[in-house]
Amino acid sequence: MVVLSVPWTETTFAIMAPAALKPVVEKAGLSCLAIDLNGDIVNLVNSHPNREEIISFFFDGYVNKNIESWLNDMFISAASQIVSYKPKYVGISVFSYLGQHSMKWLAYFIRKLDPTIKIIIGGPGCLQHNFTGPAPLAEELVTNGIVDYHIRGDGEHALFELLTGNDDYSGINDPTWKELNREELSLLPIPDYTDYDFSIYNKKILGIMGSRGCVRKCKFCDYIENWKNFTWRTADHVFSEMIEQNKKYNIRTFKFQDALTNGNLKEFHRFTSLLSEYNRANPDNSFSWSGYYIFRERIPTSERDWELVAGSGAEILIVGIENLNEHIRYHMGKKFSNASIDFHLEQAQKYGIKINFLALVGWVNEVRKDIDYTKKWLDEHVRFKDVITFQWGGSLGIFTNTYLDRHKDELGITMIGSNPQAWINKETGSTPEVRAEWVTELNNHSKALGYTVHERLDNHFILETLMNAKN
Amino acid sequence: MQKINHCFIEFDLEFGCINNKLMTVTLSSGDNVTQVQPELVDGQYLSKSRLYIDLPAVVKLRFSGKDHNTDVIFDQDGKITQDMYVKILRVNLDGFNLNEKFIHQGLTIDTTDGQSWTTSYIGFNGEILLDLSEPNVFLQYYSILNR
Repeated sequence: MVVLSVPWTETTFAIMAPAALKPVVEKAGLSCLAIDLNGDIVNLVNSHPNREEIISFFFDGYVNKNIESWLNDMFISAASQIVSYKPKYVGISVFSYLGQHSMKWLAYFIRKLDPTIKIIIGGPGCLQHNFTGPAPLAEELVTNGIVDYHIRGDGEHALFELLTGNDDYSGINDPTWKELNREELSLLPIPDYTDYDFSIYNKKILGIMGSRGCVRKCKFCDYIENWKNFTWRTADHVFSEMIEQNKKYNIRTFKFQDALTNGNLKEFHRFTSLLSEYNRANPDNSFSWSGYYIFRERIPTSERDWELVAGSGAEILIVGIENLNEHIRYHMGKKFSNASIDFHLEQAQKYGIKINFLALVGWVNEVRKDIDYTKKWLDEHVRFKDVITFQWGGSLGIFTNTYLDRHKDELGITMIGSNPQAWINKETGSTPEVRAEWVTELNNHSKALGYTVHERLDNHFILETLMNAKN
Repeated sequence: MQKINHCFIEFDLEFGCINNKLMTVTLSSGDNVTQVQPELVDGQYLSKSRLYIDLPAVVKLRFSGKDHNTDVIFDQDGKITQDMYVKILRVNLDGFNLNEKFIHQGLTIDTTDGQSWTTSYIGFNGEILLDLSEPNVFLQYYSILNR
């Protein structure tokens, strides 16, 4: 079997899925080649003279004369290479919706070149709005015979069952699927990156997974609607994987690919303690890590916790702060105070740890004065500009099956289109245009103050889509 | 190994019936000819026809059998009340939907009486020629979409 990732995911390190699935395939009795196709293509595109136009294709599927021949050759060449391995199965892992065009055409050409190969697709990018809701493209590809199986949700056990003859298993061409429980999660084999070419990346980094689900119940979140339960691997299990991968690939930097690293505080303390101890004992081969992290209300042991986080080699903590207005965070379900944010930022600054704030602009009850408060907060916290980076997002989207989606009426939300961002609140005057302006305003204000701001391409795409829909 | 340029074009059609008569539709590309066979489904004549081709190819849709003297019925005010017609409902190339260009924006039919109409409602005898000049479906699909 060949398992591969597809572009476009602009990343500084390899996508985990093919490496994570390779041992699952082998356990099912097949040999497996794990291909980091996304990495190879991103590398090629980044040095291409028509880079922007090619990237644009992954966003909106538009092909112009400058890039059609390159894309055509790329898809045929990749498909031919895959077919040349004579696999029985090809598994295409689609990380985000930006992989949908690649998935479609790669599957098409593989099927064209060898119709006997069974094609399996999976990953959040197969779905319309990430994890929840319908999967029209995946269903269309299955119906049209371009793809044989679409696996939804946790794919490890479903793939194993499929490869061992049980294609009726939950999640295979089936809208329902079964979450891995804690025992199953802890029994997963560790990813096998033997087939990956790390030389295409500037820094050697490995992805790692410590949990699934989340401990918070934020009202906007679609992730928790599928992963209803928070499950985790033990600190010792995760730590032993880091040791093993370090021995195998001489890699010392790890990026957690789960929704949060500190969901289970007991395990997180154990994890940071193990790593701190290891790093003290191995200064020439110390580990560092980054991942999603939640701020909690400050408690008496918080300073000691930060000391361990620092000692464990934390480099960048991605924090879904969402909004700097305390009342909005409480309304979202994120119950920690602004005073605690200040404390955490002071600690991060003390230890030289970067905090990447993810923000959601335009909460359902957010109004002009809240944007003004955010700007004031930014003015008053410039001393942390070496610590914080901001990602202001593409404004709030109402995703299928989320709390917001289910409570639209009582929250005053009226949808005005099929795009998740296409909603208004008549009471507050919130519209997609107003929220888009707020995003731009906060982007510009924070940049002017010297903060680092990550402006994501897909946010531009969302805004452009809304603007085009309006015109 | 299958040829990468081998594909199919598929048309879903709806037929308007007059006096138990339907228009005749023939799909062809070179020597490959398919006569469309409508079926009565819930009181409506429908067809789904697939023509296998090797790109590049010219696909011809030929519409015939309509007599404009007998196969259009008018009321006293001269308005059409019943018509023999073929409506193109859906077009796809190897499973890739071309409705946006071919249905919503229409196809050009050259009628037997020398006129030209861009429509997806065919009420005249005539021919539609689709020039699929690209070497595979990927290039052909985007060539059509970007017209």
